[in-house]
Amino acid sequence: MLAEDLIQDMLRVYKDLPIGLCCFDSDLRYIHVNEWLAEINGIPVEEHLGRTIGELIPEIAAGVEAQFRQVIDTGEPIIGGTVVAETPAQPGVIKHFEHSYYAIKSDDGEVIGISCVVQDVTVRVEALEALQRSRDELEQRVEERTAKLQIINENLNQEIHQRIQAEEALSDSETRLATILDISAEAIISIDEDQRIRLFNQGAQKTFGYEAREVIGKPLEILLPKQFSSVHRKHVEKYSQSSEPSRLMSQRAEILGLKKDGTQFPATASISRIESQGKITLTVYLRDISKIRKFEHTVQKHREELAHLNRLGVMGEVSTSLAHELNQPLASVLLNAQVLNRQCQTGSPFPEEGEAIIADLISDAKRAGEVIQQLKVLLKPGELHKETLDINQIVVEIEHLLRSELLFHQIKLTMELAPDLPAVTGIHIQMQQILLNFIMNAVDAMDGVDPGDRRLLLRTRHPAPTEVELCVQDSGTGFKKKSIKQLFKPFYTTKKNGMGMGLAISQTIANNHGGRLWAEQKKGGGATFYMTLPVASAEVAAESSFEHEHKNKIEEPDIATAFIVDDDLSVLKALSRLIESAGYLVETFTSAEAFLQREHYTGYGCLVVDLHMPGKSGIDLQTELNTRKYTMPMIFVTGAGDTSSGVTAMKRGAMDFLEKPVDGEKLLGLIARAIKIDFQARDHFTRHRSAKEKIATLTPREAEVMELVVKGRLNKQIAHTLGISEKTVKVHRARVMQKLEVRSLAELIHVSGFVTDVSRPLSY
Amino acid sequence: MCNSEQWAYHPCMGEHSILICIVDDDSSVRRALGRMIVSFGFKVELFASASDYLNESYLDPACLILDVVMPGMNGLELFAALQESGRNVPTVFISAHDNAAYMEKARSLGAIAYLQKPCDETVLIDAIEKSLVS
Repeated sequence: MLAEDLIQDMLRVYKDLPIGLCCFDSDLRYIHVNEWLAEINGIPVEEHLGRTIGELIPEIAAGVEAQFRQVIDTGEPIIGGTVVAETPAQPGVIKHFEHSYYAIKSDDGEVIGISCVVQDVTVRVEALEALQRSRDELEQRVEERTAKLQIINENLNQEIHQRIQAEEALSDSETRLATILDISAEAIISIDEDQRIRLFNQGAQKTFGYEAREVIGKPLEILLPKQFSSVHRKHVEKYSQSSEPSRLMSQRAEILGLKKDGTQFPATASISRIESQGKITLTVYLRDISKIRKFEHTVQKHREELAHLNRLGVMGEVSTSLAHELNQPLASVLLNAQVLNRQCQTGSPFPEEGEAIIADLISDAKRAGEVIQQLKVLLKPGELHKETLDINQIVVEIEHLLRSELLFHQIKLTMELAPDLPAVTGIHIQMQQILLNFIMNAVDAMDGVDPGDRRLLLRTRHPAPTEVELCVQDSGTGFKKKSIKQLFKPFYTTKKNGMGMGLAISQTIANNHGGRLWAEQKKGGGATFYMTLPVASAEVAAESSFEHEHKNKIEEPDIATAFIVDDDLSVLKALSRLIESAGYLVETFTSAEAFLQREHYTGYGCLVVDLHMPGKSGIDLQTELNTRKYTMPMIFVTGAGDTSSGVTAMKRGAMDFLEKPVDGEKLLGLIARAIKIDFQARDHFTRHRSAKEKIATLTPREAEVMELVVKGRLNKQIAHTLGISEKTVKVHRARVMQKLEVRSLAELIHVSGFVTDVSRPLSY
Repeated sequence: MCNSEQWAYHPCMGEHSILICIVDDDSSVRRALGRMIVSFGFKVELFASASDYLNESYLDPACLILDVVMPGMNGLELFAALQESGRNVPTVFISAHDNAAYMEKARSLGAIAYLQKPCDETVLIDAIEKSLVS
């Protein structure tokens, strides 16, 4: 048979191949099997023949035989199937076989059998699996690594993103800052280490009036008034070397800036330093405060006006008592005058009585005058200079003013004034104002109280070494606790027509004096208002009382003479009439010689001399008088337009000069000044001389006491130092004051200051 | 002890020995009033306060000149007190205050007059004469 031959041939060919070959007939019985396959199966070749797989290898039979059937039925091969099984040849080892089944066909196409090709692909499979496994591992590793990298990448991206954002923001804010700095109303000026201007913002440009390019590179000093340049430079240098991050420049003194147009303005400034890369940049921040100053000034003026209104208001309330205060003395004056009149008409039989009447007239007129004075003081917008004050005295003054007011309201007054109350420094009318406000408040508070129960207490105390306390206590209706805080607020009032500013203003005044104001509810009804003030320091006390004394000193003599020397009679006449009308005595001379012949005049006076005269000229006269040590002030009259002679005359000691035609007013002004000068010079001189003489009259003990008093020691201390009693110190002190003819400590200091050498050296 | 201020130089005791008492706390006004009354020819006694006057209960003046606003008891209170105790004396008030309430009170109490300070001598003498005839 051909088929068999074929098969045999095939077998012969494939005998040696490591492939399994076998054939089955259409009953699925082994026809042929090669040795390789037989080995795999673990069954000898011969035992295969004629048997089915089912009989020989039952484990794989089911699936295989199904596939055989398919091949037989379809005639189509099944290629590439796999079997995974253990083989008897190698039990326990799992093997992979790949097999293909082909249909064996007869010549006429009938399927007569199946041939199989089996390959042991275990190794290949295992290798593939291993490969797959390592591929998987690799992939996983790659995945992991990729994931990591991704994360890293993302982070990096984020960072970059943030960095970009930050840079943008920075650039934004830098721009903004630069813009802000630039457009800032404040002047911002940066300077380098040489104090040259590097940055000059818009604010600075507006403030100083320069454009940036005009000042960049220039020294900072161009922005200051010349006199401050060097000091300022030093300060800035010092500061740049210090480690302070910033400093206020105008702490001690107001800074003055200099604008391009040359005007100066007050400013407040601060300076800061930045160190970067070894370089120091200083930046000055400056603000023009002239508007603020103006505003402050206006506010101050308004405050004063308000205080003034308050005084007026209070004085209005007090008007009843003022009328009373004036009516009393006027009543006396009228009665006394009419009595005197009667007596004169009937022939006065009582001359002594007449004197008493006149004395009363005078004192009552003065009394009325004082009331008006006090009124004036309180009604004036205000002289606001500080001076040394005795609070006790102020209490007495106001009590006097309000005495009849209190009487009218049937208020019983008690005053407890601390003896030896130290002085305070303050503004007189403002202190009066506070007390006035307090008392009038008390009067109102007691309105609703039974007349028999109206009591007012004015008390001064020295509760602490540096404090003086004034309190006003009433027995009025008091106030609700809530109101205490409100009391001192502006516009708080319980009066129908009240403005409500009194206490608010009083508190402001007290604060300005470095003191405090407050109120307390009294147990059992009524209220107490307190004011404390700091005690005046000794120097201030001495200074201010001296100033005060000095201000009130007489500056002119009662009688003075003007001596006119001019060859022109009409001029003499005119000038003498003019000068006499101003209240001076006049003596006229037609020549310098005539004046020189006059007796040396010892009173107060001045000379009015025509420069150009025949004979001895005005200058000659001046020379002669200088030789004679004549100290009378001289006023020269020169020809029209001739100022050089006038100047020459002044160089030689003339007080002043006038050109013809003489301006009457100017001349009188000069004469008045000349007389004052003459008076003060000579008064000073005589006072100086006699101060020395007066001090020489002191006893040794008195001189010791004076030394210590002048040094500011208290009586107690002097007593202790000298080992004598306080009473004795007081006596010596009084004698010193008497001998030196001074009335206050300040004057004493002044007088003793005159003396530079006495028999006993004074140590300060 | 007499609390009144005696006039230093007694004029003749006055043609009329009519006593007029003056009560005023202001010493200058008191003196001046005293002189004026004396120059009218009256006898005068001066008192500085209402209580001073009340203490001199033996006095029997023909006219009383009273200030109104005084410390302690005021003029109106004094007047009322005197009336209550039966010491009725024609009274002229003279005051530095032109307070309507006081004037009304004085009138209702029956005062002869309420004069304002400063006051002219003729006004004063008129009021006194009125008192003397009442």
